[in-house]
Amino acid sequence: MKTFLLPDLGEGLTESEVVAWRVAEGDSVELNQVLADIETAKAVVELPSPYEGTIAKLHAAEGETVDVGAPLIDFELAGDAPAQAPDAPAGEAPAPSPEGGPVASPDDSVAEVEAEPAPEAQPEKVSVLVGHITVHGGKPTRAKRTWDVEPFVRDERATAAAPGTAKRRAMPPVRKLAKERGIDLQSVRPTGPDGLVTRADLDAVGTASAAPAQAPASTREKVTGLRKHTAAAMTQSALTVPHAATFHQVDVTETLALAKAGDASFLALASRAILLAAKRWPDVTASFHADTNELERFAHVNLGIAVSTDRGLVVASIDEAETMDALELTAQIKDRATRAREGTLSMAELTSSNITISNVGVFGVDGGIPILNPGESAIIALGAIRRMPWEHGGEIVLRDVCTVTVSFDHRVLDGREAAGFLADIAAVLERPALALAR
Amino acid sequence: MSITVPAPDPALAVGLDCPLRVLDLDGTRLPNEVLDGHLTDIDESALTNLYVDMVRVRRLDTEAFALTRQGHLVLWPPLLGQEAAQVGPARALGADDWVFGSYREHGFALLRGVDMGEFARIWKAYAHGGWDPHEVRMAPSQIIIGAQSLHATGFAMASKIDRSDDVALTCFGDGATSEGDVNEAMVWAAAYQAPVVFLCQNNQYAISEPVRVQSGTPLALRPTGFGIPSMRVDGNDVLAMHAAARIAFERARTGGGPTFIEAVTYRRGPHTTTDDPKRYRDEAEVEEWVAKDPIDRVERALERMGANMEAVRAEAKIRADELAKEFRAAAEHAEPPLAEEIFDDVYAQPTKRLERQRAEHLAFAASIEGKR
Repeated sequence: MKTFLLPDLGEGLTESEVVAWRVAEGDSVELNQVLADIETAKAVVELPSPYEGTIAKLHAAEGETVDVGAPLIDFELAGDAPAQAPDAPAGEAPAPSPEGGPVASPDDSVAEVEAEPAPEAQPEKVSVLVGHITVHGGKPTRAKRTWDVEPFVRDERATAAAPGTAKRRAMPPVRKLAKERGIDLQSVRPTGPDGLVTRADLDAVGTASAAPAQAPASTREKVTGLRKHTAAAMTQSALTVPHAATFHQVDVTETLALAKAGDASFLALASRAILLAAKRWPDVTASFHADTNELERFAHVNLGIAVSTDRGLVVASIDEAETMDALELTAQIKDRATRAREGTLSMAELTSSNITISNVGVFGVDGGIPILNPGESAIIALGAIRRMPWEHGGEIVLRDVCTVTVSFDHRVLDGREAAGFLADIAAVLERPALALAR
Repeated sequence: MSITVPAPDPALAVGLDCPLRVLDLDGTRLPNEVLDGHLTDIDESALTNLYVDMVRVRRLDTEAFALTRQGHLVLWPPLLGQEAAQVGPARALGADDWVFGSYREHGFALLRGVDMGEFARIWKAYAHGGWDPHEVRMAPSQIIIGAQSLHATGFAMASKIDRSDDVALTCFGDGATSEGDVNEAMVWAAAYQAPVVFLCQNNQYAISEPVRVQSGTPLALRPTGFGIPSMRVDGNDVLAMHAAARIAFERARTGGGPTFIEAVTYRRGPHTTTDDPKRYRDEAEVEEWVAKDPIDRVERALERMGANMEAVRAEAKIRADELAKEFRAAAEHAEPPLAEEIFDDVYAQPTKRLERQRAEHLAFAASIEGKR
């Protein structure tokens, strides 16, 4: 048995798609017989068989994308076939060009396979030569030679010259704008020089008429980079960690007043409340290892701050946050947010947190159930602070109220611990003076 | 040595209206006043040899293409369709003449005697040069478009100064004639009347750019501006190419200076294994050129001469299969070079500094691997 791994069919490609199989499992194949049409980022190419033998298994279905280096085909080689090339030089190599020019081969058995036309549609092409011989007025004439040809004229210019069916031309920024507005350039009346569609022409069309007709029902794009990483992390966390959550509405009027009066931010003061609560409930920063059934506890609280950036969500850690006062935390939070947006955080800063704060209130909502950062046991969501009618000192008055949510890993924490943790956070936020006693 | 100042003369070119051809598509031998005198010794046996050469060259090319798809080579620029344009001139070379080619001269490499194991290593990116140029009198493949024309001209100038009768043949494509290097080479070759032959395999495309974009007139007209005589030849006619090369080599060897040959041919495959020609050319165009196949034409000519084509085909197949097997084995089993080999060929004699760097590298490598 030989397993053929998908090679790099271009220069530096990482994956390719199987467009069509030309063989099935169980088929006998000859060396260099065409097995499949493979589409790379650069071209659709024919894949010639590297062995003479029988197809034991096709690892991918048609339409499937295969990574370079991943198994593509298993071959059973005849008899005690050697590890090296089959001995028989079985037939001619396939036509090397994708268009399949026939090889001058007396070997009929292979010629049949080669003669098969490639299944993909022929690209539509228009003649690139237009008109006829250009006559230069006033120049001395001489006998026309067979090689006197018209200067080359590119497709787009050639077709643009013909009115009515002319393909509309525009500068790249205008084409981009048209695309953004969903305007078909063909529908625009050009007023620019040489029949160019201008920005003003697009303005004249407006967006209302063309846009609905042009908008596709859906579009798809490849997910890459941070988005891909976030998707993987959230899937892992949501599918492997039993999440539970608890909420609490907290009167943060006093803490907010403190933030407004001093140099410490509200988020830093809230962090202080969380750190004080974490001291009383140390398992909120523990990490559960399912593979070894172990609970890992940490000497310090590394406080992760969830930061929304243009590229996506990152959690930046403030290590040993329990050693810092609110002013220092204010500075550290600002630093992490800035550098997260700049993309200059170190890998350690992006991975060392053991509990996370997500300040979803900045988006104007009261809360939500956050998914845990993988490896952590608790995440705290701070909702928007609202002026609400609230019971205070026996009266109904307007107070600043914030919903605090704690999502937790139910393998590590039960409702009692999570609720106790949340209640302790709430107590300090309601009465910051309590911090003096904790 | 005298330096002549050339004057442009369109009369220097032959075949501008219709490329010179002696074998018609159906194998008929056509008379040609320019070439006939140089083909008097070509009998059935000689033509059979050219046929077998072309079949072997094609088989090497298609096997290498397949090996690239199978992951054994990393890149291959195929020559399918250009066999006659290479085999004809290659078989007209003298033993001591030099070839300075581009990266698509697999036919020249094979017929010049380049070791196929070494050749495979180049296209597996395991070797930089790949063979000893002095042994086979063929310079390493040149990737820089047209640069080899200067090397060839320099060699030819030296050959003239040394009063040697060695000729330099340089091969390049249609796109190279638009490059400065090739034009500079023609300036020098003409000025010094150097014994160099410029062989332009006009395969119609500079990667994706059709030749008509580059020139409204035949490429063979360009060298006449430098005072270099030129021939425009059917590049899919192996006999015409053979005769044209003989004329050019003889002129060079007898003090007649440089000659330019435009072989009008066609690259039926992609530019390289990473290119998709369907994006820039019409399939019908390829079919037109399949009908002008250089090998089919010789088969028909041999049949007309009364040759036993069954036997000829069988022999050609056996020899092509042997070559393919040898090349496949070499490609599959090639071992990557050791990193320290990078120091070996910087200079003919290593300098102290290079030796020190090599020792430092070896010590560093040993520190990683624990042993060497």
